[in-house]
Amino acid sequence: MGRPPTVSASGGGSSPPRILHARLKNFEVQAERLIDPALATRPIAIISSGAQDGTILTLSKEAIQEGLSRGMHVSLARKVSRRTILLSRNIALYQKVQSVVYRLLSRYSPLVEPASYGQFFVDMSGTNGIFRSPAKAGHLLHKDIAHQINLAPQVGISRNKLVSSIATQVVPAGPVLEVAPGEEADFLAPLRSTALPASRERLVGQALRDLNLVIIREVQNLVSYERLAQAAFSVHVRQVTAQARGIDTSLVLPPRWKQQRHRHIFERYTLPADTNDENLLHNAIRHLADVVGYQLRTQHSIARDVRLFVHYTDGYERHVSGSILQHDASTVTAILLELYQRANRRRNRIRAITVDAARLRPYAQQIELFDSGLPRDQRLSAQLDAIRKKYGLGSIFMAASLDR
Amino acid sequence: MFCHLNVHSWHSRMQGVTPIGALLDRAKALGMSHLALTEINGMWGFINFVRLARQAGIAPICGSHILTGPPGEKPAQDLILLVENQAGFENLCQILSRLHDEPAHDILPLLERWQAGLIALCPDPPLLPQLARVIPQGNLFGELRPGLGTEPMLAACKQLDLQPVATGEVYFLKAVEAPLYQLLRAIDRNERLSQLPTWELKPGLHYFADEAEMERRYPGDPQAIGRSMTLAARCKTDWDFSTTIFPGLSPGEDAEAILRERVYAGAAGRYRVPLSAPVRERIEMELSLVCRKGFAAYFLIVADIVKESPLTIGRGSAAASILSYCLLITQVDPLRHNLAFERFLNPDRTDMPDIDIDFAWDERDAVLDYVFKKYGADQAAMVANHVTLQPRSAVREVAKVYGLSNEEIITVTKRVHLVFAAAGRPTKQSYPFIDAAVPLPTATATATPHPLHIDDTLAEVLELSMKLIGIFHYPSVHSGGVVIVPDAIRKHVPVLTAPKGVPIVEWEKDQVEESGLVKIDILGNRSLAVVRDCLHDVNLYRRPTEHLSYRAIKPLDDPRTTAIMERGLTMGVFYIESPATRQLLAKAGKVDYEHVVIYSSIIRPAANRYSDLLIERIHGAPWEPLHPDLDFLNESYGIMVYQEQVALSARVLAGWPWKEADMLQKIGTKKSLRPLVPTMQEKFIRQSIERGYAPEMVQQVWRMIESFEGYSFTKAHSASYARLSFVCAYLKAHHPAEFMAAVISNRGGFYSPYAYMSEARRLGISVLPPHINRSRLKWKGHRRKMRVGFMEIRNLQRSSIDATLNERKRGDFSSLDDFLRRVDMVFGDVRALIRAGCFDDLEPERSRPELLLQLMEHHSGSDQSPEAGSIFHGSRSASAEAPPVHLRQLSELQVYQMEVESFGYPLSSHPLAPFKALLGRRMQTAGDIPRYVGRAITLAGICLTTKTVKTRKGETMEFLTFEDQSGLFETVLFPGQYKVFNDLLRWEKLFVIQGKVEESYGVQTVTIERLTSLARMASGAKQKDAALQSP
Repeated sequence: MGRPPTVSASGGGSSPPRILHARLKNFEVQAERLIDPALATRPIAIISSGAQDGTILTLSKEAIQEGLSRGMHVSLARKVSRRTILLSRNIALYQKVQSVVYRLLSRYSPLVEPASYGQFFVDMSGTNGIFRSPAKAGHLLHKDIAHQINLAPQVGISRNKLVSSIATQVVPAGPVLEVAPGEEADFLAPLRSTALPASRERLVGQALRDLNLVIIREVQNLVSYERLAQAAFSVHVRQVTAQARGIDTSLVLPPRWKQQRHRHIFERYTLPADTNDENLLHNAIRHLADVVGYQLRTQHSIARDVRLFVHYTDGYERHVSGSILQHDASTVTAILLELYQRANRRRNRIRAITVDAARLRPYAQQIELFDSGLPRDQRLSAQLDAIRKKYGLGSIFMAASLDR
Repeated sequence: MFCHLNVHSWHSRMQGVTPIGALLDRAKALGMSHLALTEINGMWGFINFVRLARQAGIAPICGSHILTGPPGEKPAQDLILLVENQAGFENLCQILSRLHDEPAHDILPLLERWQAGLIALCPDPPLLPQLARVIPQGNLFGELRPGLGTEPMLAACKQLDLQPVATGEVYFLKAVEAPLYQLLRAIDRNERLSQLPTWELKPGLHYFADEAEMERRYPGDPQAIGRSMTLAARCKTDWDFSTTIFPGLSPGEDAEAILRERVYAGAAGRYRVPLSAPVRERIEMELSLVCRKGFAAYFLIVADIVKESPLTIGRGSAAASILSYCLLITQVDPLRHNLAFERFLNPDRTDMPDIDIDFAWDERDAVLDYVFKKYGADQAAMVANHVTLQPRSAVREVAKVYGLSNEEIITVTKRVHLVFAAAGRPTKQSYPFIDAAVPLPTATATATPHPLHIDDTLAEVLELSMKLIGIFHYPSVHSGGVVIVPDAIRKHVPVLTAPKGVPIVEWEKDQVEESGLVKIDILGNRSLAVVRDCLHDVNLYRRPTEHLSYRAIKPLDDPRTTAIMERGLTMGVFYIESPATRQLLAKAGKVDYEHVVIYSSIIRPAANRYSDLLIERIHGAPWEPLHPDLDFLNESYGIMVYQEQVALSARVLAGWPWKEADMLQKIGTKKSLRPLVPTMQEKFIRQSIERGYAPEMVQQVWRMIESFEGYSFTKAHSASYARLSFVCAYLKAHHPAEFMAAVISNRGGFYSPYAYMSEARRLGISVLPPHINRSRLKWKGHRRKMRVGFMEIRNLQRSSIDATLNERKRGDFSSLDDFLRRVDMVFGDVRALIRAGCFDDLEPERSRPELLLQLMEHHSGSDQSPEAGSIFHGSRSASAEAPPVHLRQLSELQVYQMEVESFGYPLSSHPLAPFKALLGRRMQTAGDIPRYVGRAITLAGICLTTKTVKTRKGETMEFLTFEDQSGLFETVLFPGQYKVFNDLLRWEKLFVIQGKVEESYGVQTVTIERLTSLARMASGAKQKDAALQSP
């Protein structure tokens, strides 16, 4: 580690923005231990799948000591350490814990963004009046999570999301690390250059290795020569330059804002048994078309962006995109069947099919000069929808979609 | 009377599920006297069909089911062609070859040209009038097929005045096998069952129906059924393949006279002139037999091919022929080494003798080109391999159709292989014990075998896949077999073009031999290329008059060659470099030619105990011949070592004729003959005892015969290969740098390039890093130095290497800047060169990161404008200038990592170097081993090679070769320890080895008691997440 970071004494008035990042390291491991305290000291690893080519997603430090590492194949992990408990991902559990933490953080600020499992950004700007300082808020928050949920978070505070999130990666002994405004570049300078998110770009990572730029100070030095930086980092030069200097202008986005920006219809159909039988799969698509079409019609919308996902038994997923510009039942079915044919290029059995319709726009029907009534398909859809509205969505389906 | 004229066997390339034998059995059971085999667009199993039909007493009819149209689509034309006479056979071969070239080709022009001797049956009414225009009326029939309406066909026949014939269009034996056929189609089309088009779905009607069933199908057309027999009687069934089809010489040439002349001319070069009586006698004896059998032309053709390369060796029994030796086909004098000609050719032998020739691996294609050029693609083609569905592939393919995921398939196939191997051909009942009872191959005793849950789908997959085993899947190219005929090859056998562009015949090796076609095996050998490259490097610095040549090397009595062989220092030496052979050489201590021939033959999978016995006897242990009649075993210390000794034992003890004795020596090596073992064992023992030999002695001889299981060699073969072993050993002893460079450059061999490089270092050779001005494509050796070749650098394209070498002809590069200006190369390739250290010597003042930065700047185009100046303080060739940014030097560890990334192994340091501090003084090295005999020892090493063997109890054990900075050491993991540590060996390379040193005949081996991963030991020492720590 380099020199210790400066902990600022926050003042009031026109103080700079303060972004807090809470990181629950090995979130999945912590969540598993939360529901089963017997795992507290035992080596555990969370795996993508129990099959031979499943991999370790995250693991406890005890498991690391056993010789396991992230990305290791399950088949190998089983041979390397038989003591380690391999747990399959428990998405429902993680989502539950995630929402509990989110609710707790929401008490500190209205602007909380869940970044990924176990990671949250909280915009604490202007809250000095309540918490006296972001650092104090950080300590309080740490205490709350530890006492109320029994999880151990790391907290980083700085002027932006980038530096706060890097701070939580390098928090030493203490739970809270605050980087004073204006000291972002100095804070980053002694850290390893691989801490920069841009280093995960193939080209940037390769350049860092080739040029032996081990610490961020060396990157800062290089990016001060614009031409050299351009040569080294090519299209990523602006990204690397900003990150090396601790600059990040992105906002903390609460989920509802995201939702508003991304309103969509999301339907998944899980088959009763994994299958590659084309007839059963077509039936499943017809069922999805019924449901999605009904929602589009009730919202008087079309979807400019429709993605159809095929989820295979082995965890592989493939999707294709299209659009639904007419929302009568036969059109929606035809579009989804066409998307399915394009998406399903494998012979493997399928477990589920998902339709995600986004970029919803109002359905504007061409007005006929001479009213000849609705086309047959649309009239049929209208009649079916009327029944559904009265008796519920599951009250009526196309016969073909029922044999599933 | 009825017989089937439209039948598909499992040779029909994924369009038939029944073995030929089963079809014939069924035909016989139904009282049919004739049967036609009509595979789809081919006659893949025709020779087998003829043989089996004769055995079954059924007249075999040759034919083919012709389907034309784009692959995967519904056929545009559909008809059956049956062969009426020899001309018809040749024409059918021509038509099939043409359809292989162009599957969518219209059949009508083909039939217009090649319709003679063919009978056509057409089930398609619209096609019938078109065929009537090209096929004589008496040879064209309307075909009544199951599932197709009879009315349109009968109407068409009436209109054209043709006669209808009923066929069964058989794809399977029983109606219940229809789903199996559909499964095959789904596999072949790479589709799901539900995606199969309707025309591909053959319903249950397509089974092998009897006459009564046929009458039920066509109640109004009894004549159409009876007409099948009339047609069958017209077809050719008297197939004769006993006449070998030799490629002819030019008209008027007398092959026998030419052979005699060339043999004597060659003998004058091989032996002292005038020729001695034994030489003359042997030549005359062989000439007489060869000419009597009509093989003179064959020898001349092989000799003609061999002269294309100065470096060849003969494989197999051909080395026992003095004719081959005189024609320079083989390199071993059969008289001097007492090689029996009878093994190669004897009066009883009716099949073609094989002459297999090895060429340098990278010259083999050129030799094949020569053959195709000389004889033309019209006269020559390569032999095919028939890839059939095996237990694993069958399960995998069926599982794919059923949509199982890759990991599900792997979990099953691992177990299935074991189960099927244990159970032989699987039965319907064999799959249930796959469940859990069978652990995975690498599972240790302590591991819990993961039970395999067999659900309904998996049970169905296993059940169906077992029924598919043996079905012809696709053809591939035989490794070296070439067929040459005197006229057009497409008259003798259908020919197709393999994906790699060479013409291949439809038949595989055995059918080719049986059909009377001449086959010559042209095979690749890496060590011949090693010798060639080594001699090239040696001769680079010699005057032409002093050039060393392959045939001029006299290694047999060379003291330096003997010295390295006696010590077992034969890594890189052809055929005797495996750890087992190196130890055998070192333990035996006798390395004259005769002994090396024995060693080459005795290292076999099932002969471990005999190699121990051999060493004892070499070191003077007393032994008695088993029987005076077995005196031919005396040359190998009373132990059966060579294949011909097996045959001789059978002749002497059991009194078998040559043909049967030959069969006995083949049973150990040919899988197809394995079922004969119990019968032959019983017969051999019984007849030997009946002839008055002691039962105990006969049993001993049989046990020695059993040790030939797996593979074994004739003495001639071993003698031929031993000669190359000696040449390699000679070169290693006298020109080690040139030799080891050639070994690494040609790849292959028993060890990795790293292991050979390490061996070179142990021989005192300096390994120089790649150099932009000094390296060439391959490694280069000279005196005590070896330079890494560009070929060793990963991610460097061959075209970039060629561009560099071409540009270098104009003069050396003076700097990276100079290189970048002169050679137009992609960024990634220059990067690979810099990272491999190619510019280190040229730019001593600058680090690799600085060079890489210069490359990046060059690549981004920012140094293209002169006013922009250079990053290196304005000077373009600024290698002497300091850059404005400080780029840190690479640490030792970073150089190590960069080398591993560039070459796959560290070049400038040993793989154990990063662990130097950890290893400290607690461990011994390979050099200490002789001082620890009988004591415990702890060593660290990199595992170079492993060899797993079975003990007599059937337990698994492993021999491992390790290396540390001081040398090689051999170790053994006995079954108990193997169970504990074998998993570790699958993913680790660096180990700490604890064990006990044993010694046998002056050779030490470490018996492993404990193996630990060195990397894990090191990570345990400094366990922390360094990802974000400051350095």
